[in-house]
Amino acid sequence: MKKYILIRILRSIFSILVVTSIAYMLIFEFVPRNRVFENDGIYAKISNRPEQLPLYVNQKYEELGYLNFSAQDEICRDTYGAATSAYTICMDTTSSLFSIAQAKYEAKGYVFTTIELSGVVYATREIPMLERLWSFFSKMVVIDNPNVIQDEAHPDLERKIYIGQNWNKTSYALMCSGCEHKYLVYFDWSFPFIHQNVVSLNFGRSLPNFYGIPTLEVLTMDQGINVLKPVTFPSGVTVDSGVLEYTCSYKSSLDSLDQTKFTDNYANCSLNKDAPSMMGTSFIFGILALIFSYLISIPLGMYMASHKGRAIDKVGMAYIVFVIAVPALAYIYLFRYIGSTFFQLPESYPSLGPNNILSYIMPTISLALPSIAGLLMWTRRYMVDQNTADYVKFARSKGLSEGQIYLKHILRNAIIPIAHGLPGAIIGAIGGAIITERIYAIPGMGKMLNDSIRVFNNNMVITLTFIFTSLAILSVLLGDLLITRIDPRISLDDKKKGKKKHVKR
Amino acid sequence: MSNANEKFQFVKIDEFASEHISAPHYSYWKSVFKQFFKSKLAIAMLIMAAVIFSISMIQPLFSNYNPMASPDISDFSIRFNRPNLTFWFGTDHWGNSLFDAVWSGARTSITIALLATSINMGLGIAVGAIWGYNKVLDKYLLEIYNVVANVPFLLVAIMLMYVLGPGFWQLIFVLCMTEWLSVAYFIRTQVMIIRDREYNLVSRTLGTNAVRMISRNILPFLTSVIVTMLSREIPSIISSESFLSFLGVGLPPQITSLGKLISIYITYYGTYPYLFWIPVAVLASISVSFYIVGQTFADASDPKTHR
Repeated sequence: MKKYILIRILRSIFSILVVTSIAYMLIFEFVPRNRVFENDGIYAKISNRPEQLPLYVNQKYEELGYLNFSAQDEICRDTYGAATSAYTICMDTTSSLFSIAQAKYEAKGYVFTTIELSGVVYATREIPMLERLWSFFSKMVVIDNPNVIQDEAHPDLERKIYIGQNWNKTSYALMCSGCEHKYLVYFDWSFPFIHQNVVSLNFGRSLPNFYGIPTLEVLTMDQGINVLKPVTFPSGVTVDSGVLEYTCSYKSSLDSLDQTKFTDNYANCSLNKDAPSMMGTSFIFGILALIFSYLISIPLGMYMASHKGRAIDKVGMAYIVFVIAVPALAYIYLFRYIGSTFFQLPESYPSLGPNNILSYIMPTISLALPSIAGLLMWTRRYMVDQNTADYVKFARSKGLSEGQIYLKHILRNAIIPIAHGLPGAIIGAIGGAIITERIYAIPGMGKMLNDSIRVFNNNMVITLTFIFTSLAILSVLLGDLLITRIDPRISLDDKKKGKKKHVKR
Repeated sequence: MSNANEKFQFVKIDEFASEHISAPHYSYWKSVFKQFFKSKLAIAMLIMAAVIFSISMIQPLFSNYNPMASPDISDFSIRFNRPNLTFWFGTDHWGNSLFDAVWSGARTSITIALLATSINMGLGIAVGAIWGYNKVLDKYLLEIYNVVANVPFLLVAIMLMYVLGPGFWQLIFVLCMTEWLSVAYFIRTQVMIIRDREYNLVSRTLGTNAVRMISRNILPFLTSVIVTMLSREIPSIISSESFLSFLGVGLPPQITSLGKLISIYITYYGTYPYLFWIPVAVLASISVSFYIVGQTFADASDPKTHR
């Protein structure tokens, strides 16, 4: 069994990598690369300065991983070292030293271009697709260690990992000097109580919306208005601030305000805000919708089965037909209309904000509508089928009431298929989130995908593809493992002798 | 003796009568239609589907609606006219008749739905039948299916549309790209169930080849299952298409569809509700009528319902 689980996990990771690679290759091969500038403010500003434009454009392409880009000073510095006399001579493009450097770069596959107006020379090298893909995956997992920060301004930065206390001296943490983050492992009272900053994922930077912030940070940082409370900083001053001390990371140069608060260079901290992050928002809605749909559909399905052919059964069946036949766009708007006109619920999430419970009602219902229909259909059919099973007949002949039969006998058996349907419900909720978040203007991952596509934010699209795919594939894996836990008769392992029952998906 | 013989006479063998089978006459398709037309709802929906289909195919030929051109844009008096006798569905913010726009959009939506559905079903049934019949192929296709099925369809569709750029044929490609595989998987399971039934074992022992087995023994058995799938496929394609267009990754500006009209007129949701609700209603009626006709036909095509 352990071997089986291991193989399944490896296979799931492989699937995630395959899907992400395909997405990566397609996006970076087929989406025209210059479209990223369509909504870029800086590009628009310098677009009438032909001496700066190519430098900016190529620098951005390098950031996005399309090519290697070296400006003239970088070429000379790289070949002869900074602030040497050879470097100064090399900066003249007619010199022999420059030609040597040029030949060196050309051997590596660089192509030289001269900007006519300023006479500045730069070199670019297209990175082949497979190399790009490799560098994407090799940079993806980042492990923080004391040698990460290589800062010319602070060459004698102390490099060590130690156990220290937080600012208020209320808790101990594994801390680091020389790492990207100050706190590597720390404890607090929010779920899951033990947190780490050692291993992180890197998908590149967001461009052009959320300009220059790492994509994963965009998705995980809090949104909304700053929440201020008195904080005692390492220097001893106490100010009303929103700083979250555990998020502090390295900052090369401290401004005068930082200097009054911090004693070291770990001053780049996130701020505490009142609304959950995009990821958090999406998870809240996903989980609410999942719980809601199970809470509604299983009792209702049972009730429909025990009242087969009566009015309630017919209403339920009509609802199933309605959800299958009517396009999602139409019924979500219809429900939104009903909610706002008859129950005075907000038509969009931002109108009352994340801290008002009313904002959550209609989006959750909309997200749950399709999965309720699927579960309802399934539960009803299962119950109707089981009604004539031998164990039910026996229970009935023993004189048990219908309620007892349904709750104590049939429902127990139904748990397994219910657990089996869970991954499907999660996959459905991911797709549904893209629709509902757009319609209710919920600042979550589904809306972010939509926004990113509109402004050609390739890195963000890949990050979201990765997250959604991983969620879907992992939920299938967990669903399979869950049913082997619940039902000992089911073994997913081929080698087990005796009763063999495969679960088909 | 002789008298007795005279009273009887030999009767010649009546070939016609001896060949007659006393069971009542049964024609499969006749029974299917008879069963289908028993349902009044289905007839009403069939008429509705036919009317919507013909209007949306014919009306755009005369209206010459072009989403890029607004000929009456300078005439303020015909902006935001509520539905009246001249403009049956009213006019929008540029003075375009919503009636023209809706049917032009409906034509695109129906065309896409029918094209994509026929590709998905055709490819899916063909591959699925072979898949279910061939055990070597099963191993490989199942692996591919497991990867594809675990990724949300809408995510794949949005991603591919983003990569390919907006366009009619791109949209059809994306709607077919992964969807046929789920059809194929479903058919595979159905084929596997009936592949080894006695009548098929007998047929195989008698030397029937695989193609004939699939086309004569197995697929006819699946008629009602296939029609059920078909009736679900059309609404699901219409739903996906409308949603992709709504997100702005579906069709280019020159082509309109119901999803696109909805996304344009959502701005007037509160002020001029008819602009928003009429396209929604037409979209819903198309897919509901197709679905109910399909479901009833699927029920009718199951011989168990024939009396």
